[in-house]
Amino acid sequence: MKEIIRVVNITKKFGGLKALNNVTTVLRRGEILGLIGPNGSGKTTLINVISGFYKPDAGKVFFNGEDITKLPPHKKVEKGIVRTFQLTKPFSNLSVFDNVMIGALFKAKDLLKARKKTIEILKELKLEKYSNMISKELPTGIKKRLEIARALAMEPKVLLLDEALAGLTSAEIDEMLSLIRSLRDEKRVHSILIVEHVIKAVMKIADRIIVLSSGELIAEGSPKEVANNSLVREVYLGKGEFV
Amino acid sequence: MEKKGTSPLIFLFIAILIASIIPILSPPYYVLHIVTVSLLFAYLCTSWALVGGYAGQVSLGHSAFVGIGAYLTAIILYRFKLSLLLGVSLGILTAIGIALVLGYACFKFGVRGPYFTFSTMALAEILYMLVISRREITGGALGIVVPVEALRKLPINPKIACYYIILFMFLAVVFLARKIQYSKLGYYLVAIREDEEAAEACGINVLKYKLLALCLSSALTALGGVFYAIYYGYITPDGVLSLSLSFQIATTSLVGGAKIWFGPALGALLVIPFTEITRSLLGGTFIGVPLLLYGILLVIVARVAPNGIYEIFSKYFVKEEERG
Repeated sequence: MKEIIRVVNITKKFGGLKALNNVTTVLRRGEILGLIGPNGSGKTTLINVISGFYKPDAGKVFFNGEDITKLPPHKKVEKGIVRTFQLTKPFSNLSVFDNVMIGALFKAKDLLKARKKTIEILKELKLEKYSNMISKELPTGIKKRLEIARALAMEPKVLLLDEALAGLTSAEIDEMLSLIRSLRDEKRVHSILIVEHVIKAVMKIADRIIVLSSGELIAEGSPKEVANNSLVREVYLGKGEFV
Repeated sequence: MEKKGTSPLIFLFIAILIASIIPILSPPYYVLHIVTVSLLFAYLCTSWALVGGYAGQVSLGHSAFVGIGAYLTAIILYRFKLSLLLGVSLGILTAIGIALVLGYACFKFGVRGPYFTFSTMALAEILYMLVISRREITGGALGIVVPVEALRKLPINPKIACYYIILFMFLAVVFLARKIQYSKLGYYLVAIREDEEAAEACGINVLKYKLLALCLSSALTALGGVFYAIYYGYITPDGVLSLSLSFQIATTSLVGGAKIWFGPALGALLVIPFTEITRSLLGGTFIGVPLLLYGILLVIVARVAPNGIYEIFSKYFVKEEERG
């Protein structure tokens, strides 16, 4: 499979703390890549580096072979790299409709086209009935779905999902998983990087998994390989949440 | 952004009709003055709201731009005896230039929220000091006269001419504000106001659009300053560059509702006559009482309609919701 994003020797420091230490990995075209790791292992930092919200202290990010390390977030969106946020960031005082609309305006030529696109996306993600609700009043599960709706409205090539499942009920998780899978299967997006805490869920959906611990990449492979990796087991031991 | 019921446009249209015949009724000079000043503030507040309301970048230094427009016009006309048109263009271009420098310095380096507001106040104060100290050019604290020959040559009363000029400027800026609100730019500015990071993640060049909003607002405000200078014919730093003018523009805009196109105008057209009338009735005998009344009005609005008077207006007369 062709690679779409490659991160090479990424290091990101916050004061004395190395949030990411020399991380190298690839996201291939057509795959769902799971990124797991305990709290504070650098998962969100990696998303922030790829999406341009953080500039790494060392290392490079490539998109289809092109060095995009220094591009600001909106330029990365232009390339087709779209992210969601772990702590959802809807435009709180706007309706669900307008939230998605702002995403849709990125590709749409005019308001009418954006409106049309918005209606489609809302329908697809079963958000129609919330359309006129102010987004800060939504329950967590719907907010998470709204994040994805807004991202999809931008017609991304690569979707970076930061803990899209956290805080959802198990029924909501299943629904979200089948949505994510369908996005890839129907070729709506080329590739998906899914950062997750709910490891069981990621195991079900990811083609490949990489594991971060204290900013270092400690394992990489198929879900099965990773589950049987002794280092990974050690990192998660005692947490009882592992497969 | 559903549009239902009577549009505020209809109210605006009726208001225009009434406004355009006011001078024909030959009202007392004082009435014409109050209406003119109210329209000027409606214009300034609407311009302010483009950056302070739409984009959520609260400036408390907009008098800087009023001052730039007014002083450059005055200096061009009085000191250099050059044309008004030159004064207008120089005023607008300088305002844009200064807005670019201030905006870039703030927005590029993460100066946000209250810190941006302080920076705008500093700008206005710096210009105030500059005008005070450069007496040979600006006339210092005493001010400077603004001789507008063109206005005297007109066949109609200059005050009535001014009235129509500001009426036109007011209408133009309100329609511009409306146009922007229901455009891609409008959505982008609201997104930036709500959450800059999320806006950036939506592919919006936050720096560019914040600068655009600030420059547009500053340029329009400078043009308002030009009008101020022409209308009064005499300007002082305390009149056009004071913090109290900045506050008045911002609070009046917020009282009306800075997030919607007709809000600031509504605020100005209600608040300015109120303050002008209370000042003329009570200002002489009870100094400070007009300000006290204004304070009470602010408290009432904050309690009853925290998003601005437009809320009440929308509830009873029209249904054009801000967004969603």
